[in-house]
Amino acid sequence: MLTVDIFKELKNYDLNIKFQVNREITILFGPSGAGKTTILQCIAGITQPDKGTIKLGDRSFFKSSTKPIPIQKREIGYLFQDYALFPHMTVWKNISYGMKDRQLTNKLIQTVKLNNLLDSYPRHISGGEKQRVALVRALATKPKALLLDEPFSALDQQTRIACQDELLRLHELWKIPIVMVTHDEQEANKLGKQIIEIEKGKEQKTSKFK
Amino acid sequence: MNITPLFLSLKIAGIATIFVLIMGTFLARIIARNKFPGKRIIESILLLPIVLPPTVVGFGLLYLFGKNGPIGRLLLDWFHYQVVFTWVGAVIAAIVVSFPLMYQSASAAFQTYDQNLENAAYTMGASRLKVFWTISFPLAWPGLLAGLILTFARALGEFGATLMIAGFIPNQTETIPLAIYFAVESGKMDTAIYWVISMIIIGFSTMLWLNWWSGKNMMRFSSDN
Repeated sequence: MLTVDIFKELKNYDLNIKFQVNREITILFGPSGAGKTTILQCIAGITQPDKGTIKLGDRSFFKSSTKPIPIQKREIGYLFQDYALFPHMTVWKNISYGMKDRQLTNKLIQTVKLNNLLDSYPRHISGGEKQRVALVRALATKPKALLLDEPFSALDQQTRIACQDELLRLHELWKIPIVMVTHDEQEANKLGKQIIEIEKGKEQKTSKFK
Repeated sequence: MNITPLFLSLKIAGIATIFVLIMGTFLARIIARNKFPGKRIIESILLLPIVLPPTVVGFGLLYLFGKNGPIGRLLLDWFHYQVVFTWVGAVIAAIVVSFPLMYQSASAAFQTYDQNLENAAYTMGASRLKVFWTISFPLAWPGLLAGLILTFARALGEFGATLMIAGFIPNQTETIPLAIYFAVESGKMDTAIYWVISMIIIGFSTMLWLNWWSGKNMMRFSSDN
């Protein structure tokens, strides 16, 4: 279980949020600039909250007045909004960069049908393909939780639906806590077991689905 | 014709360029990306040699490394070594005057790519060193290379500060720019013309080669998606 209870002073408002994520997909939903990405960055360790706690299972990542666990040791997969694929490496080099288990990685590549693209460079593949490479790259590190920052926003409708289905299928197999940021209501309703609506750094409403 | 000035020039500029490449790259990576108190002051000091006349830099170096200077005295006491009037002094002069060019190119180069690329590598468990060598350095390489060209050119052409700290000692600190000046001064126009033409040929072929080479490499390292 991922537990987040953090406070961070931002430029225009304070981020103050508390939530828990079981082995399910939780959606952070809200307008741009609501602080959603900052929450993901705090969980991953890219930035630090001012105070509060972040815990995954019984491992404490952040606790006020103690030294936070560095990004590298958190074992959290992070899918960036623009995918952040390494432009100077092939698809395979990207995927194997932090790979922990080769067999598992090969299976993931099969599952999302990337076999034919392994030698291509990111600039030569489509948006949907980049999205899949980024997803496999994150999962190849065997993360204990996965964070997705508007992963499907740059895709056309058809590709987006296919990628959403893929994510649901992979989650069935992996059963790890997933936190996903989106401002697409349809997407939130389709994927989320828990939807947390956020505005100006504060929780507005939380809905849970069975 | 004595070609010692050619070898001395290439040796001095080459060694200085290697030092400046390493120092400039690491300092730019550390300083340019972080915010800390006094950052602007430190950067201004590092970039100062760009705006100062080389003779001022040379005077400063002579003061620091002279027999009674703070660094010069230490070197003399501990290692019985003196850099004033040696080729090592010329290397130091070349390092100081060309450093800002490398530093500026490198700090710009480290801002040209999305910082999330490094963050992505960190989330995959990569160490700082691994991220630097596999992500930051290759992506910044085109900009670093531009800095490298400028550094080498500046080091090769250095005159004022070199004359102040290394002096003009034939066969020891006699780089091509110094050789040209003193040839003209003593009326040896043939020698001067010989070195002037050599300098133009070296400069032109270096630029030609680097342009060709960087064109080839930039395609490989191109960072646009």
